[in-house]
Amino acid sequence: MAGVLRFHTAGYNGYAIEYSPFFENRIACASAANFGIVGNGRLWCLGINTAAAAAAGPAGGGGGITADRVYDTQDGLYDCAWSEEHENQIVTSSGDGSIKLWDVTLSDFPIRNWSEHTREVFSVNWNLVNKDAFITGSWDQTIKLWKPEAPQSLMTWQEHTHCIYQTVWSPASGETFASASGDQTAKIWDVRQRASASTIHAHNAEVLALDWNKYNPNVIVTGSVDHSIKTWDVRFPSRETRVLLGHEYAVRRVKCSPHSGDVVVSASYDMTMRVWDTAAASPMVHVHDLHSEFVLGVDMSMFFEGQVATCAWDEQVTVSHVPALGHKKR
Amino acid sequence: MSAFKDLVGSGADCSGGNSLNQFTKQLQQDRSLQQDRFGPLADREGSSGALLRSGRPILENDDIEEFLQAGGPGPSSRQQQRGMFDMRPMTRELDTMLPPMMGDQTWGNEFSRFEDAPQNHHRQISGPSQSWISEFAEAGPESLKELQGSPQNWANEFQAHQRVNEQQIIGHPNMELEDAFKRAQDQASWAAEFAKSSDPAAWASEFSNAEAESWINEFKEQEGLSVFGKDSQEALSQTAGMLLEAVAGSTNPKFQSSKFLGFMQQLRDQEVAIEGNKLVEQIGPAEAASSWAKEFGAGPVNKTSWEEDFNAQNSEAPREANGNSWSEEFSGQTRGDQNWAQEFQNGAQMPDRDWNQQFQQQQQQQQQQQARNMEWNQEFARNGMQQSSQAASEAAMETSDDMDDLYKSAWDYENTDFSEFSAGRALGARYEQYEFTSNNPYLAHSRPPAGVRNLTEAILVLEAQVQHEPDNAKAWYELGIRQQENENDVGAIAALRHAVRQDPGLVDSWIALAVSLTNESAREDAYDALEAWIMNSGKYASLAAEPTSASSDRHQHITNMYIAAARMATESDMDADVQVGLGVLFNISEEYNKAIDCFEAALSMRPQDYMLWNKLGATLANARYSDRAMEAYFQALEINPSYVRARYNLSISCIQMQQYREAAEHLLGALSVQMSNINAVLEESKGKGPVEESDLASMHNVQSGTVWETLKMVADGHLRRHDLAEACEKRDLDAFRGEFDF
Repeated sequence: MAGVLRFHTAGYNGYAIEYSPFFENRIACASAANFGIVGNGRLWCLGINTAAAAAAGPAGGGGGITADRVYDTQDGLYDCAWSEEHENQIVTSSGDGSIKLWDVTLSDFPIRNWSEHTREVFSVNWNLVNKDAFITGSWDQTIKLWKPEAPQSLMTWQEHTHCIYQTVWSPASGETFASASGDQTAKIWDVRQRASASTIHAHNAEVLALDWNKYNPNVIVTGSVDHSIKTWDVRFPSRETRVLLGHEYAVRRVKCSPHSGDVVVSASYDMTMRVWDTAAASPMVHVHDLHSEFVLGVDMSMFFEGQVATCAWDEQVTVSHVPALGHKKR
Repeated sequence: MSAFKDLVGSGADCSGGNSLNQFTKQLQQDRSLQQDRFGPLADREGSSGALLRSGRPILENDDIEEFLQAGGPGPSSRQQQRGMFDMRPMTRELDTMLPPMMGDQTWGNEFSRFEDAPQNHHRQISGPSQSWISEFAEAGPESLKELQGSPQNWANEFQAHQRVNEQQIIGHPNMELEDAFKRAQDQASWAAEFAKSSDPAAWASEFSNAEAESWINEFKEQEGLSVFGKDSQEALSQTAGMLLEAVAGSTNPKFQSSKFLGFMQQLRDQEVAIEGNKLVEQIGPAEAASSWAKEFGAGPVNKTSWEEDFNAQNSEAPREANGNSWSEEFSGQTRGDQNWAQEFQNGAQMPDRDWNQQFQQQQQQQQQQQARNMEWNQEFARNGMQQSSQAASEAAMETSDDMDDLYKSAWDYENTDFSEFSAGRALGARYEQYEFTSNNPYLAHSRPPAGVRNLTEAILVLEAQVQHEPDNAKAWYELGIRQQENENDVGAIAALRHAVRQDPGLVDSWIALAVSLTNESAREDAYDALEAWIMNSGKYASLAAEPTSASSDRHQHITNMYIAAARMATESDMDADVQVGLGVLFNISEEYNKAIDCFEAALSMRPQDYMLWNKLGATLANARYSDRAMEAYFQALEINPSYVRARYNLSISCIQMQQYREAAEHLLGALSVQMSNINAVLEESKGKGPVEESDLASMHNVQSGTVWETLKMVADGHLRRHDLAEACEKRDLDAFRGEFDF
């Protein structure tokens, strides 16, 4: 695939973007009108047409990405997660506290709706190991565990003392997840326990983003309002293993590569997405400068190494290849 | 502002700041629910085929009932009973999550332990609740009886509310009892106020029956106003203004042409307003808004917001309490922690406080940046590449209260090249200046005692020695090695840096330094040390033809030097130090099998080097050979039983093998070695005065924080002993005695 593919999420500002774990050419984008301040939300189910992409040439352009489905919601959508067990299902989290499960073979309405959270739900994440469960993290300071079949949440954790911005399952253990909060901490949890297993005082500012390293089960990455990204060995919460500096405003999302234990991508309010090599002496290896507003969502393709999708408040979704995402050799 | 409060990093509590957004959401909520309730079900009937095709179908209504009934209570009671305290769904959850090889029995144990925990917490909180009730009953007019006499629907409401609160309290066992008690008190005052109000039943029903939205709309129509009051509109405008100020200094052209920031400008200038779920452009924007505000403020209808109106009805009641109950009634939710009125109120108060906080935080950040910049500058200067850093540090050094300048300098700072900064470096004073133990009894001795009995004593004696002779490189080196042994890499790095500053030719210091730096993830500094070892070892200096740059092949370059050094030796006169250096390098690059070979080769030359045994063990553990790792650690401990680091590492291997109790015991062993050493030292100095608690506290430098932290993690996360985790916070070893062998 050459160049950059773009899609215009007309009238909606992108908040999150996620590759399907089943279909190599499918991505979903959760978005909100009016920058999420007031108004509706829309879930976009997008198809990447690589043939059109090739025809579009290196300059890129429209036509490479098509909207296969759109779903409208009463309130802004802040995050989404594909089901790991049903290829056509996707769950969204919304500003009104609701969680909705969609089937992309059906039009118009969700197949499930849960309203338990009392505030904006900024995070939803599907369990990669126990594939019938997902978690949500909300501004109501709680984390909830859900199963698609259950009419209510199965578990609620309340320990953070500020909004929760992200909750992510460990790729190595179906019982372990991590959470990032405005209380400046990241916490590690075991679903079998009511209290968190450990607390990392990660930044001296709100922690907005978090992800697990896919190759080292003890490593997490955090992103913060303090502009920095930090890597941590969760066994040693007292000190980060590395600080990655370069973003000029708050870091809104971080993702660890599915292809390398050293590669991290990040999206920021400085309107860029950046690629990092956490093992290199100069860790910042790429600045993706394709947006003209805040970049809030980023994800990496599992199927094509180096393919990255982003969404931003400029109503643009981009799919591009970033350099230097190959395996490191030492 | 949900959208950007995190951008400005106000640090404000999330219950404030976005009151408007929240307000909007509350208004939308009911409709949204309806849509979902009726829409999808109707649709699903027609398309169940599609659902079946996609795999496991979503359960139909009947199935859901079945699903619920199978779990226990009938459907009628499930809404009430299935709170977060209900373990049944979790049981099923656990069932599926447990690995298949785990037998039922294990599972049963696991579950029963799990079940025990919340019950304990229940017992814990029942204390204060009880006392609250009796206190409350004694209080006088607002007695429980009176409360019970209240109309039925209210009583139910109250009970439900109380139940929720109780659940919440149980929900987080870590919560201080004071907090629980405070909640109970809040509850009490709310209940009392409620009971006092003239006709609670009518009041409650008024609110529960009211179509809240239509009520709001009515209000809106009546007043001919947007649903947002003056204060809210102002708050939104101020928040937008705050955000604009925060990015004003940005020289990024994208920020100047940003539509979002343009939108913020409109909000700030009140050219657009939020009405219901929409944005509405204002006619004759700012002027109209302000004149409206004036009119509204001065007009006869001086109940500026319905909230005040509402409060006036219940003026005796604290706002918080009323808002709470109202919000519950309104949303029909049973969760009690949401507090609309408070939020609304906060919304009006927010901007000032918020701005202050934000400003303070920015100033802090600025200071931090300055500090970091200085460090960075030093670092940079050391590398002899000063010019480009100059401008940046100067910009950051200028102190200014002015927002624009502040951001401008921040911007300049951010624009500088970060590749050298903090990347794999052990920066900061604690790595540079060795922190001495205060009240060191040996400081008074004119010369070292004849025999040193333990590690703590050794460290204190050496500390005294280097304080008397700060240029004694050998003493600094010894101190660094002892701190390594004591599981204190920070102290070791500081001491070893003193050693190499005094005598760069003391090459053992460089290798030791490389080891500690690697442990602290200061990779670049570790490379520097390894390179310095080669350059300062007369034998190998010729191999270091040119110094390396900070490029990514630096690792390869230095590894090549060490391999060349290894090749200079014959089979019989192998240099163990070269092997250790290579071992460190392969640890950095995570080539653990190669590192194992190197350390084993070195051990063949120095079989009694217990620290080398420990290095081998750590490498084996990293390579996930936990059994072999433990053997190596035991070797080290056999040679030196008070070797704290090996004991600590042993516990890490136990954690990896999920032997948490053993892990705790090894950690406790390490701590008790340290503690008894300290006590011995204090005994020694007792002649000079009584042993005080403060004396013990002053010995923190010879105690290892890492060990306590790890013990806390094991106690809290794995052994589920919050009491012991708290003991760790207090560094109370005695709390573990009797229960653990150490």
